[in-house]
Amino acid sequence: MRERSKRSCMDNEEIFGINRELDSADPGALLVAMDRLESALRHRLGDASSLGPLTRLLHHENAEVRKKAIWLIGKLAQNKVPGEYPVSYVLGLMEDEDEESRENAAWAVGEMAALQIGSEQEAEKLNSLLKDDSSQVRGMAAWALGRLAERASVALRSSESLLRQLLQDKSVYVCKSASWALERLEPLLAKR
Amino acid sequence: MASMTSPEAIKVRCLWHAEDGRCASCKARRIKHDILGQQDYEMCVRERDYPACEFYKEKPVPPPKK
Repeated sequence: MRERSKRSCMDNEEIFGINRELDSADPGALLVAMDRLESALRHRLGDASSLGPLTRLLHHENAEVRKKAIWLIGKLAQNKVPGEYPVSYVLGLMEDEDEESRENAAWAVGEMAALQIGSEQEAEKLNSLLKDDSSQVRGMAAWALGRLAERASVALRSSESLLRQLLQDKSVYVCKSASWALERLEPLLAKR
Repeated sequence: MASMTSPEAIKVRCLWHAEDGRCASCKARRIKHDILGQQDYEMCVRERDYPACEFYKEKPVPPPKK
């Protein structure tokens, strides 16, 4: 018990140190800190105290930093860490010029849905990503819409028609994602 | 999934393919679990998984040390 408590204390200290480095102006130190946080999160360590520094990084001029920051926020949500998630900033990133940042933002919304975070605002934004040039982004947006329906009971009729169109998409990944999402949206919409 | 990976690229190790054989892409694992119904997907098998994986990313070769 004492060992566990000692370990937990060390983990907290480590996360505190990482968070401080996430505010660093030095890009090298910043990327190292993000890698350390990634490693911690893969071991299911970490807490909501990283959400603040990560949110600030969503505006970083370097696309690598932005895409990693949003990925880390998604990973916190996947680990079911409760906290104040920066929904509006995540939605803003769905318009990012970087394709992977848009994909990661959709993934983060899908993961946040398991924490009961989700509204029609997210669904509307994901609808716009269903028309993205990238099949990766379209597929992830479709999956996130399915997660919003399944985990947060959020579904829009406008999503249903757009997802139906994606059943004819040239990417099999996108077709399957759309089909999976429709299976979750349709029962919800039928009840209304 | 539609294959986006050329046969040549399959020879190159995926960025997300960990040394112990696991897939290190949280997004790929999530999609394979949910969309493709691979309930226990964790280990990546090059021949089986590379050709059809939308998340395949060529592992960059580190620049030679000077």
